[in-house]
Amino acid sequence: MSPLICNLFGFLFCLLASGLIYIASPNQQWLEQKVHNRKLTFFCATASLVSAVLIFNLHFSALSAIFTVFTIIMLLLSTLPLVVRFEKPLTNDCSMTPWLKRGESYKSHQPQWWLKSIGVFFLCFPLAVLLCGFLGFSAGYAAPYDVRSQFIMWMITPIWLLPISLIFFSRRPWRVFAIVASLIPVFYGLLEWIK
Amino acid sequence: MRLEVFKDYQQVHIWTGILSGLLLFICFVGGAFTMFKGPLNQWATQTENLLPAIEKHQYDDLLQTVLEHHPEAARELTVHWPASQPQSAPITWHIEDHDTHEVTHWQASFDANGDLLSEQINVSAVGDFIDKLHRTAGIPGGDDHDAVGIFVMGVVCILYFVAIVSGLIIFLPTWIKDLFSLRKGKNSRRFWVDFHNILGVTALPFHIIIAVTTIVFAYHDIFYGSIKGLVYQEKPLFDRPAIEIPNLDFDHLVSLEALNAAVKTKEPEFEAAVFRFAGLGTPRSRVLIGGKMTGEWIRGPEHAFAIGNPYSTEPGYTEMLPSQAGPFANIVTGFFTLHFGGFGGNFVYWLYFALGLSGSLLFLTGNIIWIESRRKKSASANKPQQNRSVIVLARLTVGATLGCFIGICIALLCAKLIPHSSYDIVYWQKLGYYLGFLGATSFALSQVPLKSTRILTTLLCLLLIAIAAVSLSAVTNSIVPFTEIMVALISLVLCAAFWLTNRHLIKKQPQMIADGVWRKAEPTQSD
Repeated sequence: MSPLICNLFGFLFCLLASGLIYIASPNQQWLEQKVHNRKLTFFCATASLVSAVLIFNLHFSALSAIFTVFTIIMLLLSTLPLVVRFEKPLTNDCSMTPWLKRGESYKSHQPQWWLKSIGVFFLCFPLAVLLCGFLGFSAGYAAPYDVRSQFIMWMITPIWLLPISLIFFSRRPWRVFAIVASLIPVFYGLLEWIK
Repeated sequence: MRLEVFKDYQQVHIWTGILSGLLLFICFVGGAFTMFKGPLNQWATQTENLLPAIEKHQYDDLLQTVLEHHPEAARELTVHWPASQPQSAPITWHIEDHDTHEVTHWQASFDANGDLLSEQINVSAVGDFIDKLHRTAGIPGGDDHDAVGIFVMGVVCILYFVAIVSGLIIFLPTWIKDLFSLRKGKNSRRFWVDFHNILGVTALPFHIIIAVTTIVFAYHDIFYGSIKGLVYQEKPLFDRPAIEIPNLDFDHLVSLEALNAAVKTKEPEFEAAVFRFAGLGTPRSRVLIGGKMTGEWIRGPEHAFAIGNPYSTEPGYTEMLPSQAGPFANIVTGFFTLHFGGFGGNFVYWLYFALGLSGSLLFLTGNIIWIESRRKKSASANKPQQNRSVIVLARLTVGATLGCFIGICIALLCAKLIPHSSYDIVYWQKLGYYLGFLGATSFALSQVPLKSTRILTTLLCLLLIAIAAVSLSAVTNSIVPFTEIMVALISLVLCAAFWLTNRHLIKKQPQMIADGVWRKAEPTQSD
């Protein structure tokens, strides 16, 4: 099969899968009747996705085929919901247990924007570097020397930024800072030991 | 989840989004067009700047001849093999003045008699210009690697990452109820929130990858410095032993075929397209060999890379090649290829082009939501006094977003219409972009958004039609006729999209409240 035909069929299978995922969702605006057998629909969508990966794999490597399918799905799911059939949207009668709770801490809560963001920004950076160093050296000979340095460098960002993003969950930022500060020498020691 | 935490994350998402949104819009639009950097460079090449193509067996002779007549080219020189054609010349190099940082471009080939043809040229490289725009958001200052804009975008992407996580957190409490919903009704803010959610949630992995990789691209030197200080300390970061080269004369360079064959011993599917030589004649000589490997997990946007010794047939550093990479190398390569979209050839380039444009809408809708939620609705007969911040952001959003497109269109037209041999085309296409962008932004700041949007989208449609016309008229003489047709086609598709937007605004105008934000506030009866 030529690459062009493969890409076309792969895309069509992804389109089928995206359509099935969309119509199985409670907010779909294509069918008047909601889909009752969601499990079957999701199974068919999964089968379509697997087929798409196998088709792309004829000319792409396995990793490239998987990520090509991911990319197509992201693109289609962001555009298919824009195609609506009904002038007045169908209602979604899904009920959800309320996630948000207003407790006693609501009135006394202080966001402490600057303290939390600046504190965790500076404290988590050395921790991220040391943790990544530890992970990189733990890999041993599985990672060639040059590749290990690059791997350590690349892993810093996600490990550093996640605490910055999640710090606002904390009610006691100083406790978080103390934990992070105490982890720094721990990972430094672990790193020295493993080196 | 505690209600106060939810409200905190709402504020975090709002402020990180507002501060980073417009710059990210420019980067995403630039990034979408950067997917076709190479074809755009070829599209902009003018026929009078072309040198004759040569046979594959002539490349080694040409390289030796160029080094003999232009020894300054040994510092950095690129050989474009047939797989990378069409190019303006088989061999190109540039000379940078260390004091002024001005760069002059040279190219060389053989004429019909086999004599050296070498000349200094002005190179548009409009694709590279758009790539720089993509990396810096158009913020001027600094050199290529140390551009000010790149450092700024690093900070912006830190805010972007926080915005992504905070957006996910505030979406989670109602995700079942809101996923894929798109509620059109009297409450326009609801519609924009739903649209924003669809764009953000469905492309979440893409946005995370872009944010993380951009931060690393901006600050990798700082990260490596930190790793050296805290982790490696006295040990070297990289283990690449110095290459022993007994004889540095240019006539001891191995042939290009031999270099290609050396890489093929490790990666049989590899076919060299470009050879970037650096430091020839010095102990630091090296060659970066780029080869096309469509559908593979590659390091570069277009090519897989191997680094070799131009004086030896040893394969060199091949850990970046797909079949040589272990799991850790694949993770590292993955970051590169998932940012560049290089893992699937032209097919994935088009997907990333679409994702780039739809991703830019995420930032636009975010700004619109902020404006709509703060727009004071007119109450009874009183003219509402809108906050200055709301008015400014509404106008700035229109100006910056449309100005980005207008600037790129003007740059493309400059690259195509202005004779490269007579003018400094790099200067003129840069001037064209900034005039378009700043002009549109200034105009939008002085007018109500509805009026400026209609005028700017009309201007944009005219520019896109002009690009299409210029492209189609160049098909017969172009080195890349198919690219000319595709540029024309995409221009017309974008023109249609903006024209439809304009028509939609005209249709919706009577329904838009004249409260001084999108439309001019109408005088009340008491006035």
